[in-house]
Amino acid sequence: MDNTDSSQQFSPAEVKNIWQQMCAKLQPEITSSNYGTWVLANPVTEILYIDQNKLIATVTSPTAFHATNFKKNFDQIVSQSLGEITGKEVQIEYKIGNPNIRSEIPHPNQSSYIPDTANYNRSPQSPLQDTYDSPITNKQQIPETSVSTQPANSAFSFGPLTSTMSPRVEQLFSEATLSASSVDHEMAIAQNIGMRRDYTFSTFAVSTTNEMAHAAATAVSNRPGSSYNPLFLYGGVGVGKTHLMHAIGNNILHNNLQVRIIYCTGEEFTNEIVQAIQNKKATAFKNKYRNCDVLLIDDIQFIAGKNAVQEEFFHTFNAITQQSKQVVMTSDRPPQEIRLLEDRLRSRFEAGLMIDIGQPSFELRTAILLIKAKAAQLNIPIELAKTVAAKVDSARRIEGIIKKIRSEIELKRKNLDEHLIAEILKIEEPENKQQIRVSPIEVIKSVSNHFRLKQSELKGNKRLKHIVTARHITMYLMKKELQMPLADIGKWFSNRDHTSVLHAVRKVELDIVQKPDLHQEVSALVTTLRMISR
Amino acid sequence: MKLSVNQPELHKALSFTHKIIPSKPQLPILSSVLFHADTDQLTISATDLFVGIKVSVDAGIQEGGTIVLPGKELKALIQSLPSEFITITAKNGTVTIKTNQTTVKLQTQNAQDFPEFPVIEGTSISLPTAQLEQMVHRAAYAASVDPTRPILTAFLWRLSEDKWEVVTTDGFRLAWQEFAPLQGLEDIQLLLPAKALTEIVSIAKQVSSELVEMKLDQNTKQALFKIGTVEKFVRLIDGTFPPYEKIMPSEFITKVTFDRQEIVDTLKRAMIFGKDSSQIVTFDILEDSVNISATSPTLGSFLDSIKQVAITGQTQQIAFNTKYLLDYLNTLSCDTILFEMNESLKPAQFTDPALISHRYIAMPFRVAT
Repeated sequence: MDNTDSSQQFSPAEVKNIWQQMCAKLQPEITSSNYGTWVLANPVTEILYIDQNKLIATVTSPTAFHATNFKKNFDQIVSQSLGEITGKEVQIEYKIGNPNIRSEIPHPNQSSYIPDTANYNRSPQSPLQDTYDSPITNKQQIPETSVSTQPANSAFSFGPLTSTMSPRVEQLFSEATLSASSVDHEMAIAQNIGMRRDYTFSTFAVSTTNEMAHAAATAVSNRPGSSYNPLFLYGGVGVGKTHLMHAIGNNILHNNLQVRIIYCTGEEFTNEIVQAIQNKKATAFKNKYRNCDVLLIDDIQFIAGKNAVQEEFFHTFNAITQQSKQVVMTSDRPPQEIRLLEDRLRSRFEAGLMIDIGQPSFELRTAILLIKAKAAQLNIPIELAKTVAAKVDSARRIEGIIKKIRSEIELKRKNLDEHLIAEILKIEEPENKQQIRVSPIEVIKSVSNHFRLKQSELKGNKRLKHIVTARHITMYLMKKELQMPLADIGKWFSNRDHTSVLHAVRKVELDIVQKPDLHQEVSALVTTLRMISR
Repeated sequence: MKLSVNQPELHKALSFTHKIIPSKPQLPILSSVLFHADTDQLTISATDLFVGIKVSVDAGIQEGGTIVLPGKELKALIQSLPSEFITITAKNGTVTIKTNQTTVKLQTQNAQDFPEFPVIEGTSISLPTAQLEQMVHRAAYAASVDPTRPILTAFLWRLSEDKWEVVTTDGFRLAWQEFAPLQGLEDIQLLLPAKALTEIVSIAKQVSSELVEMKLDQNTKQALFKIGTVEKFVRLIDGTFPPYEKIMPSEFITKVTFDRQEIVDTLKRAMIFGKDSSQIVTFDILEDSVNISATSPTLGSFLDSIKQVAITGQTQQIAFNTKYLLDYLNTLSCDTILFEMNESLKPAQFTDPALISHRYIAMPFRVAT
């Protein structure tokens, strides 16, 4: 062998070559079964120089049994014949392992484990051909501890069933399962918190009525605890408070899975306290709420008037905000209008950022409708979307209508056209109409407040344009929401004739479809009346 | 050599060595057992060079010596003999086995050819048999038997200062257990062949040994288990265990609590119909009940609607191989079973709700619709 003195180690090809020569030498001298078990299975895998004339050869044995017996029976013969081949004095060391072990999980660097056969320059009839590829030759049974004789990849290509059969099981450790687990994780956490995954910022339509709220929510979700704390969002039914709140939660979770988020409604919070007190688990309750990183409470107004709950919430709130953890609340009205809310809570709510989300404008409702329709894979033409948006005042009802349209199309195979929309809107209306229980005087009061008029002006005879509009709206509300007889309505307005009332109602009905701002005023008033009626 | 030994004792020892003896060894001597008698003890050994066993047997020894006898035939012979003393004498290469009625003469092979056992160095650690038994009972079925994937035929022992995790998987389902940390073994991962571990437990039960002494030699990659008078040598498996932590879901969308006996009964019924369709059983998790169904293209179909369940989360559908589920469910004795899942093609989990230290993850089947 030609080896320069500078090389400290024989290259794998050289080792292989030496080993091959040695095998050829030994093979005739011993029985084939001994040769197979003791020689072939225990190859020399490494040869190192100690000095000019001395070498150390490492024999890699599959087990300690092999090594022990190789040492006992072949140590001398092998070191001697290695000496003859290399012309040096050879000492043998033993190592347990597999000369060509392959890891179970295939990875790009896999090839480094597999000997490069092209470099070995061995003759085709060499007995080593088998051996280097599989240390256990075919003749020997494969014990449980044998090395893989298959390329690692092939183990992944079949399951317990062949792939041609229809039921298939994926590998537990397949790439898909491994990579999906983190996505799953996020989804499952969101589910457990109680957040809807489809309520994200990307599905939230922004317009003038809610852009402030949207901006604040985005800021809070990107830097929870440090931008606006607490964030208090308020507004009427279906303006998107809950959507924004879920979007905050989802975005925080997406940025960091470790953040502990609690989402609940004011009612759930109340129920949980009651239960905790009943089961004497108040400490667990406190630990749960006071140690979270983000607390999202929907409809906080619900805790008003409940002293023990307010007390607990006050402490929870303090504990969280003191650690600069984020609190986000929503309510259907601003803190100062929440009746029976303790002053210390009110002042705390007002200390953060309070944002009013207005009723969605006609354009925004159209946009929301289009976004939601797209999410439901429904292709609504913009004209039809406008028709729906004109008739429907809250975003929440839009969702319901989309579901209805979808089921009509899917289940009854109807075409998406004006007739279908008209039909659905007709069915929709009575179902969603909540009976508002307020007195006529309250309607008058609300409307006059809304338009900054005196009640006497509203009831009087002045024919100034803005007063007339307000008066008509009041009549309309009394007819539509309170279902009062036309004659009775007339009595409230300086004893007007029922035909005048009918004219007013019809005019508003007509205008409401054509003038988006009028529609907005009316729906805002309806919302206000609903609040009072509760 | 001259000694006398009680038939039941010898038979028991040979039944242990019998498990090791390869059926078609490359090296003929590996089908033999080695008898070694010194002044006060008879030791019987066998090995396939990957696993080895040494059994000490109580015997009346008059003269020491070493003989090598054909393992299979000797076991069959001793098994058939009545329960009485057997005398074994060896002289000039001929072994005579004699009872009141029977006389057998056998040729001994050269004792020098019998492989020498390695010396295992390392500190000894005591493992309670009951714990090992529980570990094997709860998880051995989940290990693979496919010799081309040796890593999956192993029990993973992952030991750290605060816990001892034990995992088996065949790539389609996975059993995970956690035990208190083992003193003296920290920050180490071991791959122990499931077959060997199962046998160790079986031996420990047969010899009524309450403790199993384990010695680990990382240099020679051998583990030595001392079970009473039996010593078992086991080659540790090389390689990296798959990243099991990554595929064990920590959160779930849908959770169902079943009565264990009820679900076992249902699955057994379903199995009758699953025979032609790879034992596939489908779970339809509804609002307040779970429909379990199986279809046979030749036989017909089966549907059980389980109403006595507690369900939280979304309604879902998922399909499993019945065997995978029964393998696990049959190892338990609890009253209820908690089933948790995320999506119909993602790993799902089964647990005994009272036992947080044992989890079973099964990969669902994709059913063509």
